[in-house]
Amino acid sequence: MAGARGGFNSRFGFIMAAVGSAVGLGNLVRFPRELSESGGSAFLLVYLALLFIVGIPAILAEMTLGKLSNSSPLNAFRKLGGEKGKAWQLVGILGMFGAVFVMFFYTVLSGWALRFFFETFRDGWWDAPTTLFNSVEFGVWTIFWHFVVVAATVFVVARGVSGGIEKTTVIIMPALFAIVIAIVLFAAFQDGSGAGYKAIFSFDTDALANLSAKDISRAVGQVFFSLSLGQGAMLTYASYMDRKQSVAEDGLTIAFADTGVALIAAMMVFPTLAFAGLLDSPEASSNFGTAFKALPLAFLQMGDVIGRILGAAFFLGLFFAALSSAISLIEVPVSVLVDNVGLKRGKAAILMGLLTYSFGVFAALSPEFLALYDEIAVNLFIVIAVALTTFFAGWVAKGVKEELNSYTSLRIGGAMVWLMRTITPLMILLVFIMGAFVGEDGGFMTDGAGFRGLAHSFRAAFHLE
Amino acid sequence: MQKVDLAIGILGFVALTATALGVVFADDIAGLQDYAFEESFVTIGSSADTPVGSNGVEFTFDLDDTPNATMGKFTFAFTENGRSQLTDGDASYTITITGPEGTMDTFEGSFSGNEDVVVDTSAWAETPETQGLTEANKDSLSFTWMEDVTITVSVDAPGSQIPLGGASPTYSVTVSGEALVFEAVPATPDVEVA
Repeated sequence: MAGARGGFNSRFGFIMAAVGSAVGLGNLVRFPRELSESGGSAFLLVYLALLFIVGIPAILAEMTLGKLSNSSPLNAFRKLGGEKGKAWQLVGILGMFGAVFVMFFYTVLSGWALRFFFETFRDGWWDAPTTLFNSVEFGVWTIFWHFVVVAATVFVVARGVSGGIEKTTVIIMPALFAIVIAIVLFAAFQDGSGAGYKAIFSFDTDALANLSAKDISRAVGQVFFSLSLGQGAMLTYASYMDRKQSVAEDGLTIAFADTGVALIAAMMVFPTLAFAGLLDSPEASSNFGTAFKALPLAFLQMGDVIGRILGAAFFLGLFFAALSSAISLIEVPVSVLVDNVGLKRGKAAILMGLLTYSFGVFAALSPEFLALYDEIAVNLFIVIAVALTTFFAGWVAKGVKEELNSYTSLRIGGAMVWLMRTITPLMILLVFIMGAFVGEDGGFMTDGAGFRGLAHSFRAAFHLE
Repeated sequence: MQKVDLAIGILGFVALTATALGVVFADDIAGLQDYAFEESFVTIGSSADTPVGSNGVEFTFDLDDTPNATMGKFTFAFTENGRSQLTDGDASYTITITGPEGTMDTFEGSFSGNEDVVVDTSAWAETPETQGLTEANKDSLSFTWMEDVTITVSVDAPGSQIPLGGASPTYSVTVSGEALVFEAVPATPDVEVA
């Protein structure tokens, strides 16, 4: 039950909030495309292997630190870091900054989804299924929708863990699941949808064999981005867990739920595109193009009534997925302001909302600023934070194995700590090196290298090139 | 006033300033553009019924009202009156598309009676560095493809017998096009954390 600093009232509430943090736009759009382009179920096997070796140990590491410390990210590392605790706080700071920079642009993306939901009632995307997105993704009105999302997020977080976050996520997450399943079922019965299942589930070993080291490192990165790791979100939420909840059981539930939603979303997106003959269309050649151009075009072909209903439902679901993630992101700095600075929750939420809104204005106007925030978050903060958090949980913090084995019949503590000490942080470190320094052609700092992209985005955002 | 209230006040001012700057300088802040194509269907023009005569007949159409567009496909709907295909054979056509720097493309063929002829110029869209569209135009987002472009349709019908009444066979043509309209759109980045 909730303690003095607030907490979740029920295990279900915690699970919904944490799954909401993990399930985002990437689950609904990015993963399905990744699956279809990288080898179908052959890639899925690789992804699951990476989930077990990297994702699950990493999420359990974050959650254990949160539950053991019952504190915000900064305090967690300080409390559990022993004599060098103050130095280890840096890891908490890295994660928090990662969350903050993601927030700057994530609320813009969420605003897109919310706007498209409302555009259903104005025939916005119905009349211009492939061109509405071009005119609304960046611009003055995008600032407005960005503001609406920030305001909604601040409102939820200000009301507290149980009164705001839990109450909201126990409604929107089941609604999201229902929406996704409804579209999956409808798409399954449409003529031509079979090609969609083939696209995502065929065992394409050729595509798998053509995956480069860079592709594999991207897949590893996708695992922990998908689980919302390295941003302090899981650690913060776990700090609100009831003492008698099992980190192992809940962590596994969250990891499998996140992957499950992504798989079911793939069964929603690709059969729908296949039914409409849009699998190889130019609109479906990018993640956001798939969500905001190809799928509206597909909904258009489902008929006047059904198409509009499913379209509205899809964009509402997309917004719910994005909102639940945004809530967890803003909760990270809010918890730090509450725990470390002693601010009241409401004022802390307003402060972070104003900061998010101000920086986000530029992401609402410029794709370069949006890319810049993403590059900063990934290359400077998140990946390093995940690696160090996992290492910290494996080598520094005391009681991790015991915590993982408590309140459960599962006995995975030993194996998980071994992974946290060895393979997991090493693989994440490799991801960082491959991502930051290696280009698409395998060369050092060539096109596609994260730091090179960061420098380019910086110059482009400020019109220096 | 508490420090936190002061901080909220300052950040509130920053937020308002960011909004004002964003609204006023939206175009300057906006970044690189991609170019999207949208298909649309336009009727370019129709000619009157015109006697073919012994030297053929020529129709001219100017494309001035389709800014930012390149035609992917032209349809020439020919109508023929007063000529017998059985005895006189097919009529022939030459379609010349002329731009500000000269001839852009030429198509030749034959048709019989009332017939639609379709010419496909969609390959032009793959090489936009052609007449009227320079790199400078691309950066300033103005495509001048279809300004100062003229379509000339010549019809020749040799061997026409003058039918009863002495009137020459007549031809008319309606030109319509499937346009690829250029639209400057933001280049959406593919974010990793989403």
